[in-house]
Amino acid sequence: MTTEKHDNPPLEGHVHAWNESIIEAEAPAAVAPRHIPRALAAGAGVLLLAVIVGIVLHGRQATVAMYVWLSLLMFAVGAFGVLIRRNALVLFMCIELMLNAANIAFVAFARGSGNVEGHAIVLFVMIVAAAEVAVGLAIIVSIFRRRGSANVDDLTTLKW
Amino acid sequence: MLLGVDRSEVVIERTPLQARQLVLGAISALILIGAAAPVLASKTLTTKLPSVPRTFGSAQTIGGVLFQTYLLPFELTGLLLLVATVGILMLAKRKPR
Repeated sequence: MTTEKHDNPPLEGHVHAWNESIIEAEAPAAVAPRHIPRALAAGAGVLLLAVIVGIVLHGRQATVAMYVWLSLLMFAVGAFGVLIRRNALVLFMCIELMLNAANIAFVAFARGSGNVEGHAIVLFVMIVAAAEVAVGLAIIVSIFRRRGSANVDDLTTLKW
Repeated sequence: MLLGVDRSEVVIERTPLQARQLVLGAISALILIGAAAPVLASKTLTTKLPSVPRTFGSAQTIGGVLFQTYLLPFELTGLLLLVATVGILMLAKRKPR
């Protein structure tokens, strides 16, 4: 790990060198075609899931438990993303997913108990999340400028 | 730095899922569902939602709660946002050469 201090080089050159190292690492021909089918499959899967859930829930009375199931699912997706992805930006999106899952549960319980304070707490969660994300993004940008990478596995300087 | 706009900037993480991870993930998902299912299937959560007044969740009632019950935390979040803004400016500033 290089720790010498160097002035921030202009961003252009940095990104360029980074891209080249990645393209070198894997054949460019293999990069392009693999991307779109994956996204299509994910979209089709989500659509199928939505249809199944719609069929199961059709004509039922809404209960608090349904919303909490949704919140549970969202939280699981976020936690899974944090565990398997290594890009700092994607990690941030997954953390947001988990925060919003908690928000859904808050609002559902507030509606179930007829108490508006859940909504107020959700607003506080949003404000704190906004501050956290803004600071985090600024940190990611400055790390990216210095290191040329946003991979969290590369950041081991503070590891004992 | 718009992600994915330029084909040459497409970044693919190469961390394939291992069978061990999938097994561990399945086990923890089962534990989570098993722990949550009894609670979520209980009587209080599966009954019909209670009827609430029409103003429930309106901006007026939420604003009332925010500015009466939670006035101090509300002001503190304002301070938090200010601190965050100043911190971001310090972080994002380009250092003079």
